[in-house]
Amino acid sequence: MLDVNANESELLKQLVEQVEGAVYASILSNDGLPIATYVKEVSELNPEASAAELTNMVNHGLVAVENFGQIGSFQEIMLISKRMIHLARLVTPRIFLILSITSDGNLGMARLLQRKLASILKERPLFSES
Amino acid sequence: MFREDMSIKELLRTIVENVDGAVAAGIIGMDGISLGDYNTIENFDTTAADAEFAHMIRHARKALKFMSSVPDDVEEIILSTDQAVIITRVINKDFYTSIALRADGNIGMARLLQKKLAEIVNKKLS
Repeated sequence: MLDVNANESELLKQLVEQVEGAVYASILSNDGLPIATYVKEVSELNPEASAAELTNMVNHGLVAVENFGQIGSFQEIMLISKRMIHLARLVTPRIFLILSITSDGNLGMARLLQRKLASILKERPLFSES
Repeated sequence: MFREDMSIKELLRTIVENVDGAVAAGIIGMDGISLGDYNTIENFDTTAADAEFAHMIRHARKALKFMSSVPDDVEEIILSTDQAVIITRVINKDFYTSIALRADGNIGMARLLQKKLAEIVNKKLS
């Protein structure tokens, strides 16, 4: 379903096109800077603002996990609103993968393919030292 | 399962006992102060995390305004680690509910029951 030989931008496009309701995907560093992004033309999202705000969400999630203690290491955070579902998954401690879908989109498929893409990216030399 | 005459503690115990893998649940104010909780793990202190989740919900409300030109509002925040899943659902502008599950817990059932719980608690609090 995802071509392991494709470049990062192409993989994001494949991810968005294979998940019903998906409109936006991005690989971000933990300072909010995008490494690669794909936005479906019909999307109402502002990609730059989404990148910055979802980075903040991930950073809050990391703090919450630390404050909880005894619950393992952070993997994923989902922000579910009336209109959208934003999924952020860590690829490495400094890199994470965002996928945004409409609230009636396929959340199960979104999580499945996002997890697969994160494991593909994790193996790449580009991210190995991040 | 849930009854409107149940106390908050009973409601929270009911959800924890009816979701596979659930270990704790709570009702928390957006100021981070707990209204009630039910916990099956000894010494599992959620005080700091309650406050952090309240902060995250407040932040998410603001973030959505920047992320899209279309008005929107937060319903849930779900945080997963390699050992646990924590699902928070907004009850109203002042309160949210959270449930903590083991990583292999039933997230779908937790979300379904949590939505019903939030509706009942919202009636109690309004």
